[in-house]
Amino acid sequence: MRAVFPPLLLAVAGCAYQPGSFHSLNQPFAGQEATLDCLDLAVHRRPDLPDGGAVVSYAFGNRCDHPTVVDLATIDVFGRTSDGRQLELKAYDPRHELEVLYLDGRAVGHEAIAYPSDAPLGVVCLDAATIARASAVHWMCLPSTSQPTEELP
Amino acid sequence: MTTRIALLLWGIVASLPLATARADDLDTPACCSYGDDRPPCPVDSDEAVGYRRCPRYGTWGASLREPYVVVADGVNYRVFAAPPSAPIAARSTSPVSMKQGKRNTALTFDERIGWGITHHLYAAIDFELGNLRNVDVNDSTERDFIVDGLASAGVRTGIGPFAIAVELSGGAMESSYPKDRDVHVDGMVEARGRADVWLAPWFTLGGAIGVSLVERGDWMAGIYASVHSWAFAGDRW
Repeated sequence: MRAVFPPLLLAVAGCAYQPGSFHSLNQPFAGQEATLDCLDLAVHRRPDLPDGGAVVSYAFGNRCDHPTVVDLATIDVFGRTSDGRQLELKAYDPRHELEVLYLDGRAVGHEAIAYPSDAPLGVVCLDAATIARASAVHWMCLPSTSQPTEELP
Repeated sequence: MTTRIALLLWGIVASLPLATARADDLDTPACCSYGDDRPPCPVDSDEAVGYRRCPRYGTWGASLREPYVVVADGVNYRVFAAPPSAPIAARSTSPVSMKQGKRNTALTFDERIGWGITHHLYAAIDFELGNLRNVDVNDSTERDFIVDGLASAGVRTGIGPFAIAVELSGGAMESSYPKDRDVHVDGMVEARGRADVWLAPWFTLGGAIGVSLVERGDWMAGIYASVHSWAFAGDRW
């Protein structure tokens, strides 16, 4: 019995997201990290779509014991083309799936969202604060390579 | 026996939500029913919304779209007050003397499923099966089989790492005795107190004690493990 209980408790407790850890057995937290109220967020830019659109993956964990809002539907996202143009990007959502949802306490989740663009995008910037509906803006900029940048739109 | 089998099957079916109650399991739901008009998946973006078939967007928030559900499995220890034996003087002008039989006990397995009604109010159904052990066949008071079903309503709140609740339960118990071919069905009304300790956001260990409100001297105590569909049962909003 003594040998069974510790692994059982570890397995049960391991399901819960640990605040600030940016780690979960259920999913990776890749890319830039940010903490916004109850939400730990990691944002990573994937290889672009063949037609030039960007794909951003979001991984998030709830630091709090209570549900918290995750708004991936109304994120402010901008892209900058190689010739310096700044474009407001809209999520590719042909089935109108995107909506504001709540993430359970100490739970994790992830999504990937495509942002179509007519022109290749050098940098994609998003206001992560809108995801958690935090008061202060928090821009995160993602180059087309895997290296993050602090450049603002 | 048909009743027992039906109740047993009901208990098995009731335990099935355990597979879906875990919030972590909701990341991999059954496939969604999208049409075939979706665009082909581009390289390296097969998981992006609009390009993928499954999982549907927002599966990580699915548990909160559903009502709060808790599934618990445990063991109850029941004590039954001594059943009065036949009166020594059945017809007499003097007060009837009751020969007290010895009280007996039962150990039952308890399958429980509960739902949140409001923030602190809940309802639950218990199914108990027990006393399957071999009893003394010469003991006419010892139940050799027990099955019961209870419906409960209660209020719950969280205090630190604990969740406490009080509830009122009502139902029926079917039991039999070694020397009695008849099956006895008795009504049950119990007042119960419950306490759980959170070992993880979706998992608790708890205990319950209760007293019968219809059979004086009957009481129960139990321990159980619970899986909750909402972290901390939603008590920490």
